[in-house]
Amino acid sequence: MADYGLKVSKSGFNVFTADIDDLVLHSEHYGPKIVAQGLTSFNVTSGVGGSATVAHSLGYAPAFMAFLTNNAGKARPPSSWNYDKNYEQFIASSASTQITFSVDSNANTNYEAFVYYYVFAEVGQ
Amino acid sequence: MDYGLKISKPGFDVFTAAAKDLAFGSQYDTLKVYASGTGDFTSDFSTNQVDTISHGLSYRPAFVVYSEIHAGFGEPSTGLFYALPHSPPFGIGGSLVTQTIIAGVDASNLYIRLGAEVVLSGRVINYKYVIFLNPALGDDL
Repeated sequence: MADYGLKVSKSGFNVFTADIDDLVLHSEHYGPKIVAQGLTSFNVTSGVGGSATVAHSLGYAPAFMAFLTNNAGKARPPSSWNYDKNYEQFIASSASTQITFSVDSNANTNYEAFVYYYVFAEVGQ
Repeated sequence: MDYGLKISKPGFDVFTAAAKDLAFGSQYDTLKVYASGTGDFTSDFSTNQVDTISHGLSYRPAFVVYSEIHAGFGEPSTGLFYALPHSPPFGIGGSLVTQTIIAGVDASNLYIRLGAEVVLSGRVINYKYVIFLNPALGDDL
């Protein structure tokens, strides 16, 4: 196969000799492509938790990244315990039609949870 | 107007390839690295520890953190880095408070928290982090 593609090096590096770590873009070693991103929210109830879903139309379970906060607190990724509160856990999962976000029943206060999410084109599962 | 740059993966027609079959598509945003670094804790079995890393952004940025964890019998997994958060299974004695390594971010800092009982006192736990320009939450919150 012919040697073809696109490379962009970091400032100060020769694009023809730079290591992969010193490239901003290398079409052979592609990065995740964000097909959707946004903010969603849901109400968390003490002793119950709460959840929300974000629909997508990819037809497969995509890779994703998400962070949750109760606005005033730290933003944290899925599976984190909230050590500023009652160690309730933020959980997220990917399926062929939607991403699901939830806070478990360890929540001991009522609050509105905010989730910022990225859905990638890459297959997550 | 339909314009931009696309590169398909080998074996796919760039004109018809789905997003997942592109190596690059200028219509898709991507993660942009803002900063990266390393750090370490020296465990004190009686005290939880938090490292605070200033990021200088005015919003909560997306991030990933990888850390050494316990490898059994109170010793660290030297050289093996696991994606955070990490919490041992409850069935092997996991304590949500003291045996967990987690991370969070606000508009000023990235915080990495080592539970006191992850490893025995005096053991070094190394971590690596990447902070992205992409927001974890917009500055409107």
